[in-house]
Formats: sequence, structure tokens, C-alpha cells
Amino acid sequence: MVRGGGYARRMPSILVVSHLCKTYASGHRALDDINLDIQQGEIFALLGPNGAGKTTLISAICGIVRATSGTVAVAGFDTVRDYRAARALIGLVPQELTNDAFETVWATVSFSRGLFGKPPNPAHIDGVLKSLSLWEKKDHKIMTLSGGMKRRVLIAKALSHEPRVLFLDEPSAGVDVELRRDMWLLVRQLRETGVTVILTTHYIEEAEEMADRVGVISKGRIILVEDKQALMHKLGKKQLSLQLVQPLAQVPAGLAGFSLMLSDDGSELTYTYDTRSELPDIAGLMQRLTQAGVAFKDLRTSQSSLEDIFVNLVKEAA
Amino acid sequence: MNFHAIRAIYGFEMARTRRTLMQSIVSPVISTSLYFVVFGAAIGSRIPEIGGVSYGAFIVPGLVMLALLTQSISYASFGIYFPRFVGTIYELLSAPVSYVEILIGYVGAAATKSIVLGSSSWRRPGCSCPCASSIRCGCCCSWC
Repeated sequence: MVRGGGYARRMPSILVVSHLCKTYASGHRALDDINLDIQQGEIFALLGPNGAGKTTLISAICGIVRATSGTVAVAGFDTVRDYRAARALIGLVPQELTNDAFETVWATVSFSRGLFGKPPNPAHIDGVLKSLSLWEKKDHKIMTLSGGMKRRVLIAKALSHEPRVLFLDEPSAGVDVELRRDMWLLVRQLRETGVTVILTTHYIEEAEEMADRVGVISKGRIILVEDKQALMHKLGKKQLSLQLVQPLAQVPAGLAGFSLMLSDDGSELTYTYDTRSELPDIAGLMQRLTQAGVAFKDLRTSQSSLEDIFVNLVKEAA
Repeated sequence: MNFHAIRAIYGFEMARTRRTLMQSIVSPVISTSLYFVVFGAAIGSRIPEIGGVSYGAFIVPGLVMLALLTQSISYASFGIYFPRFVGTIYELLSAPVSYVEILIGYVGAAATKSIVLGSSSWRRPGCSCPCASSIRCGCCCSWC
């Protein structure tokens, strides 16, 4: 399986957002000079707190919201001037479970395909429904389905017209662990067929699990766009925690050169180091500990997650 | 022109009509038929013919057109507004369709339904009406 941004960077751009702004009539600036370049075949995760502008950005790209200024191009087609060509390439799974309650699964998925200008193709609809485990429910009315199944129907609708770019707006909202894992699997399978996936999420683990690149948006501005692995390497912090045999009253003077913190009860010593810096001097620390007569019975290391990085970035932006 | 989209919208609306036949077609036909009974039988029997045209025969086209126009506007506006109300309009807005194509789909389906409704309400020639009115009304024709 191909992971990381190296794969994506070699691919041409499928979506280019330039200086996109959206100001509502109330004066609220939901999007502020957004610039984004998404490569074909990558999985891009857009992270941001509530009200950051994630859904507005997706809506502006898909044509649901009219941008105040700026341009969006999908595979070179401007979403305003060449809206037919641009929109035909996009599939959208909205955040809310908005379905026609009285339609059958088959009918609503077929309707979506027609709406996007594709001739009927029952074999393709069959394939989509089977891949989403909806085949047994194809003649059921949507109102009789569970929340998770309704989410699958929305995904099936988005895939019905064979899009090249798929937007998943918080796909894991309100779904159980099993469905979430199924969805991750589906997204990876889609990527292997050349579909570009752009997802917004609150679940950092989702971005951490799937994304090639991560974008962070806050207050309508893109704070950062970075390869996920590079981001974690660049901004990640590592900690080495030592469980001491004898509690200490204070950090020994001989260890002053290291960034050490002693727990309140004096039984744990934590060494924090930055993965950006040169190789941490762990061997030197061990040597100094021995010299200072500090014995430890256990040790563990931990690394800051994407969630920690995200929280720090949003705090800094605020 | 995105003909597949027009066909999809038209088919979607007509499927909704088939699903809701009672409220889409039968209910307006009964409602119009009751107008015929009230105006035709109750009032019409007391009004003499003018120029060889009975009052009942005079009001039938008007009542049929009243039902047809009311329902055609209702069908089309409901079809367009309901997706907005429940949120499924996102799909229409993000689809590669123009406003004209959307309108052709919805209004075309509404017009078709209205014609079916008007035809159902219209009297059938040669049918004898069992009610006391001087016209052969739609509700009676359903027994013909």
C-alpha cells in the first residue's frame, strides 16, 4: 500500500483553489483567501474546529455556496464557467443524513447517476451497492434503514456517477466502529482506482489513519498544508519517561543540561525532545543518570499524535 | 442540455406520484367532483339555461381548470421546495444541471400529472349521470 505524500506529489493537480473568499450577507467572513492544490489520487484530510469553514469550503467547491471571490478549478475546468464539466467529476457525501425517506435505495442511487448526466448503468449501481453492503437493502425504503446504512446510501449516491474527486464531509459522524473501518477500507480502494478523496473530520485518528496530506483550517484560513508524515516529524514531540526506583526530591544538578521534568511524587522523570532537532542524546542521559546514582526500574516512550499537533496549531492561530 | 438529468427528475417526480396516488390524483379528483355536486346539482338546478347552455355545463370547464392550475402549481412547487426543506437539494445544486433543466424536469412532471388529473375530472361523453344535476360530473363518471 502506498502511503505518504511522495506518491501524491508526483501526480498532476486535480483541484486548484485560488484566493477563495466567502463573506455572508451578515458580514461573517467564512472563507478568507483560501489557496489549495490537491493532487490526483491523494487522500487529503481537512481538519478544523467547529465553524472553521470546512463545510463552507466544500460547498463553495461543489457549487452549493457561491463564493464572494476567487476561483476553483477541477481537472482544469472552472467551477463557474465550465460548471457542467467540473461538477460531473465531483461526488459529494454531505455531513447531514439528508435522504429521500420514501424512495428505495436503488431508485435514489439511480436518480443521482441520472442527475449527473450519466446514462443508466444497472451493472455499475449493482457494483456500488455490493461494495457498500447495501445489496440486500436495495429495495428497502430509506426511512427503514439505520443511520449507518443511510450514510452508506449517501456514499453510494456520490459514487453512482463514477466521480474522480470524492468529498466526504465528516464521514464518521454518528457511525459505529465497524462501519468506520469499512469506510476507511473503501476510501483506500477508491484511491487505488485513481479517485482523489478529500475528507473533513473531527476524528484526528481518521486523518492519521488514512490521509496522505493534512490541511488545517481555522477561522476561514488555511493555517497549514503538509504531508502527514512530514508534519508529524516536523512538529511532533517525543517523550522518554523513566520510572525511578527511589523517588527524587529534585532533578540532580548533573542533569541540568537535559529537558527533564520530575513528577509531583518524584517517582517519574520525563525527558522531552523534539524530533526536528538533531538526534537526541539519550545515551548521554543514561550515562549521566548512572553517574548521578539515579536508578530506574522501567521506561517508556511516547510520541505526540496528530491530535496534539492539531490542537497546538489551532491554539497558535487563535 | 443534460437530458439524463431532466429524465431523472421527471422520472423521480412521476414515481412519487405513483407512490402517492391517493393524495396526488384521487383526492383532487374527489374534491373537484364535490364542487360539481355543490355547484351543479345544488345551485345549477335552480338556475335556468341561458342561450341553451345550462349552468352546470357552463361551470365545468372552469372547475376543471381550477383544479388543474391549482394542482399543477402545487405539484411543481412541492417538488422543488420539499428537497430544500429536507436538505436533499444539495444534490441538485451540486449537479451539472442548469436552472432551465431543473425546471423542465419538475414543471414537465407537474404538467403531466395535472393533465392526468384534468382528464380524470372531465366528464366523459355519453355517460349518464346518476345524480340529479343537469350535467354529467366527474364523480359520477367514475361509475360509468
